[in-house]
Amino acid sequence: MKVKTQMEGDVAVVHVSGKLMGGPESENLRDEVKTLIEDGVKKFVINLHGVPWINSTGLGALMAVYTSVQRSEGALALCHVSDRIQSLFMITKLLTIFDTHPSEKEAVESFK
Amino acid sequence: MPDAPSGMEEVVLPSDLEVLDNIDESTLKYSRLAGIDNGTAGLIAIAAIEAVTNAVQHGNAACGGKEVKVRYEWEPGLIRITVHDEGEGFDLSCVLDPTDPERCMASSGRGIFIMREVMDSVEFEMSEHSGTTVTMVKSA
Repeated sequence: MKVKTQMEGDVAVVHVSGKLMGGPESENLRDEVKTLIEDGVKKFVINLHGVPWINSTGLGALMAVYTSVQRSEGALALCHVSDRIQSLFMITKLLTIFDTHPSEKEAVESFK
Repeated sequence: MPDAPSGMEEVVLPSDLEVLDNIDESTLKYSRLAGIDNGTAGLIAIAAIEAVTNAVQHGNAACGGKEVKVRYEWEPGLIRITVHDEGEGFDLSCVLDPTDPERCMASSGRGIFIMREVMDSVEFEMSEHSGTTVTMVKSA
């Protein structure tokens, strides 16, 4: 799994590609967000365009990121969430936890 | 429902999460062969991925030398998926409800819940010496 961040103003857009399914690579996302929090970033968009599905371990990684951002008094949005991932959110009753948007543009603008 | 064949396929996989792509594709394929619609097939794939994730990470503790066996059995309107690992099993009563408000923000513990939510039945057989087998069934 790969992560790459680009800043859109004061919003960090973290592009995730590959499989979010556990294993050592799943730490990449948490580490990236942790570094951004330490740099003072408060607004995050996780772009899941490159992630066709996740398992519950990957969902756990998203939860951990969400919690870290909340604790730093920041805000997190997701975009390009596939139907399969939306289904997983629905099954696990987490649909209302995550702020999701169909596009990166809408996700970034939601912070304005 | 269109005519759907019956069949069985078994695969033996290493204890590596990289196999999950294979599980996803296979589950979708055999679900469709059973005449199950695409939306439901996607949900079944979610459950199968969870079962194999558990087998790899917990049952076999991601030990490369241990195997995961996955069997697909399908007939018109029904699919049965059996996942076997070489682990010693676990206490099912220790599996807590992840939607409980005290646990809903946890970063783990949702796998079995997901399987039970998606599938019509989920049954575990555990043996300290023969491993753990989970059998999941879903009808169209």
